[in-house]
Amino acid sequence: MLKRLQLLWRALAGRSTLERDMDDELRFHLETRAADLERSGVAAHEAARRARLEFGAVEGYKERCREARGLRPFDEMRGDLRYALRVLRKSPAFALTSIATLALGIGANTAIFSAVKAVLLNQLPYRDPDRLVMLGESDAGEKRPETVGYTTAYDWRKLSRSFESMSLYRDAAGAIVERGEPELVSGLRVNYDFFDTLGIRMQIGRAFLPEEDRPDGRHEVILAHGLWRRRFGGDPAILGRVIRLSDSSFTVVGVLPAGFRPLEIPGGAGTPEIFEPLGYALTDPFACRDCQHLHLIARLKKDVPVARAQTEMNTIMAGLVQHYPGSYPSEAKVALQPLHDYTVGRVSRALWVLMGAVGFVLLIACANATNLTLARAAGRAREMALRAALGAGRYRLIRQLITESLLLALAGGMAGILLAWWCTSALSSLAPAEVPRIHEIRMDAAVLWFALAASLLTGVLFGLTPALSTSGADPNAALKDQGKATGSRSRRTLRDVLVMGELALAFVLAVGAGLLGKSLVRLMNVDPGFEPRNVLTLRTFVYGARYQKPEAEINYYAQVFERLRATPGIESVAMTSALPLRDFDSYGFHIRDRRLAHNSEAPSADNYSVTPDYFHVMRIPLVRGRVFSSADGSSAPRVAAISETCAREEFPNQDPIGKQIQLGGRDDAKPWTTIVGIVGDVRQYGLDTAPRIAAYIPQAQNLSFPYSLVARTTVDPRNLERATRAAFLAADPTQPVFQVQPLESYLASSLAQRRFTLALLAAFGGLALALAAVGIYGVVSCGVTARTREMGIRMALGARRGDVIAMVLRQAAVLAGAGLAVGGAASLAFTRFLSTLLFEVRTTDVATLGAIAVLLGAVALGASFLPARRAASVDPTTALRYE
Amino acid sequence: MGHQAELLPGTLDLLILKAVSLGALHGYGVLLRIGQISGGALTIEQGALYPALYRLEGQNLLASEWGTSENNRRAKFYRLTPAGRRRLRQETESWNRLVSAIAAALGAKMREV
Repeated sequence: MLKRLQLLWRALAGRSTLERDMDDELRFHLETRAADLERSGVAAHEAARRARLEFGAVEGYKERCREARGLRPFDEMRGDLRYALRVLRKSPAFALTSIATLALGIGANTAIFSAVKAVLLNQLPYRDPDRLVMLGESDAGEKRPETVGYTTAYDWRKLSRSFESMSLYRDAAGAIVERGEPELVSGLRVNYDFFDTLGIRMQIGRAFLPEEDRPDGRHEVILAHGLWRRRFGGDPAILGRVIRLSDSSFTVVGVLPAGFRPLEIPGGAGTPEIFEPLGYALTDPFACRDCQHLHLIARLKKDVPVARAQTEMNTIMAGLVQHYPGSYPSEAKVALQPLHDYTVGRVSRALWVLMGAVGFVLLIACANATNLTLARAAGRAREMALRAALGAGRYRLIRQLITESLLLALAGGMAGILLAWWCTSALSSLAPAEVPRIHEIRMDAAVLWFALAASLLTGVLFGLTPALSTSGADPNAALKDQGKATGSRSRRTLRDVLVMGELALAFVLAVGAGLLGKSLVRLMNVDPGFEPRNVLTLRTFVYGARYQKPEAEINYYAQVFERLRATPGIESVAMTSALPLRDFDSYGFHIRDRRLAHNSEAPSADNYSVTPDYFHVMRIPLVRGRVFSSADGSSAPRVAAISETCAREEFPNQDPIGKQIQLGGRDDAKPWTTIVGIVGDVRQYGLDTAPRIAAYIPQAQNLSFPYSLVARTTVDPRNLERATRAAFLAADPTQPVFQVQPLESYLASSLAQRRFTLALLAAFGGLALALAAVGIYGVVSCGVTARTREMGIRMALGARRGDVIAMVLRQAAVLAGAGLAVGGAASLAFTRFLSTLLFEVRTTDVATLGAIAVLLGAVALGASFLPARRAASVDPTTALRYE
Repeated sequence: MGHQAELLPGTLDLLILKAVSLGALHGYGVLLRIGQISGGALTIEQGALYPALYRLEGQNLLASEWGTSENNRRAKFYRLTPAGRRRLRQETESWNRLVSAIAAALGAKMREV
């Protein structure tokens, strides 16, 4: 056995050594023989000649030696390959078409697979990431864990048994002023065991200690690798150094490794780069049970399944609701989700849909290649018959044909990999940042293996059918059938079925793209409630002792406003605590004369603290009453405006104007706020999300938020980015401003993921359509060629051009009709998977299905028209002589 | 050259094994030795020797290694493996049986039938 393997190895790898050895051995024989002859008196040149003569046919013996070696299979393989290459070189049009078709199919699959692998299949870079779960309080049955209050989490930790550890975190930002322009750095405040829960070790230094995670602590900071390199030059002596963050001092205790991928907070300001201890205590006012603003990540104990943890948490939560009815809605639950799903869940459906779509494209490419091969097989029937007659077994012929198709598939795969290489870099740069992990897309070994496997599978798939049908031909019949290039009836039926299948698949893809497209159009026609064009936004971060008093902050904004209003191109300016499509901040909405059983049952309203001009800048219409004015100052009576939805839902059959409300907790001792106006609804969470109830308060009366600037411009807002930033830095150079960008970009990024999915699906649909068109063209054109004689006879008997064209088109129409019927049925089965990606479009949208059917029918008939015209221009005399 | 006989099919392998059993030989040496031990009575098509050698080596009856020939050149030497030696014995016995059977058959007289 070992010896055989050795031989095999030598045969494959050391092929040339073996050949050289054989040459040497035979040459030795010939030369020694010649020398012997010479010694016996034969002249030198005569001796060499005689030696060769006595030996016999050297090449023939060599061949027999190889055979004797048991190397025949390899030689045959080599022969097959060489023959396949020669055959393919002789029909370059066929070879190139097949390779291009397969390259498109394999390339698209490889590219999408690389994305699926990076986003969905690759493990998250934490220790045993399968055991990490996100937890959150679910008040209205939402499945996705969002936030939890500190005290609630404290009880969960105390009462649960399923978890190894639970760590809270929240966003934190700090302004770094050291060296250069102030920079706002995103960060997290985390429980001391946060990095243990994730299973991350510091590159240098240590994680936080329990005693640092207290309200009186919070003097330590851990830096992300990138920030350490960027801002501190990768200084290895950074540990122990005190840095200033937003006017407070922090001691650096650790630096994270470069590969650390922080958990990102949805809607957060950016990738966290600084980490501080959370430092909460149960006595803190913001630590209350219904102060839901903390995120919770937990590590399951070994061998505890998610379902068991979920059951345990449900029981615990039910107990808490019973115990503290005032703090939780009566149906409060716990949302628990594995971290992987939490991170990529939003895009997994879209990616799997795309993977399915490219799978369809590959199937169509396969069908096309099969068709091409079948068409060629008809012309090669004699060649095959000849080979069979000369003694090639059926197995041998199949192997030859499969070699050809594998060769094509591998060439297609190679080209496909190049294509995918280019596509993946395009993918990761074009894909919206909203797609998690998109920048981790790589063409790695696994992806290359995938491409290779796809190529081999493709080769066998599209080679086998033609090989079986071609090699099975009866040599007698084929040889007698003087070069008739028609092919058998069964082969033609097979080709018709393939084209029908192609059309059906293309139909499904096109319908999918059509549905997504219609959704996007519907979505873009949704009125967001404000006018996003020509608005520049910018975020501020005011910190420091200087701004302890609200007047100072107001004054800072006023100075900025003054400068901005003097800037040409800026029409009006305002501040808001929450930008639509960007932030969200909601509070309990209490009405003075409405008593609820528990305060926790108050609805929650989106809350905006805005300057008076906000409604004007955003073009949010005033429905009734009035908007704010400069008279609504800190000493004036407290006022609020509410949205139309709020007026409708919270004040049915009443006039809300003049009613009094409180936002946040209800406290009858505190002053009440009077509603003075009703304004239009704003889609705060996305165009596809119905507006919730909203309340606006004047900035001058409650300043406890970070603010964003909105400036309406008369020119392209991008041209004013520099001037706007400069206005802030001129008012105070120590205060960072960031994310200077047009409001429209938030709108665009809220649609980006849909647009991206649609663009890809539309591209695949178009590709499928083009391939199917090529397929139907090929089949019809072949049919026309086969019937040239028949056409000639018909025309000789008086048929007109139009009759012939109609006849050919009828054949195509039958094919297309059957394909569309199958495709229609299939699309009903497949579009179900799209349902979550659609917006106000049903998966069985008749208009879309009809439009796509018409489009596909037109393409099919268009592709058939060329061969039909060719058929009609046949000269009867030539046609009759044909064959 | 006079009395030379064509080889019977299948006997080449036997002759090679026999030739090599007397000591390691290169291909040309096998040719010479067969000529020598048959007293020049058997002709072998020289080229046919090599496929046979390769086949025997493939069947693990011969082993080969590169060495230096008597005229100081690199040559491939064949020797018998234990399996080859066994095969030679078996083949020799069956050959002898065959020869005596055929000889007996050919020498038969009418009355013995």
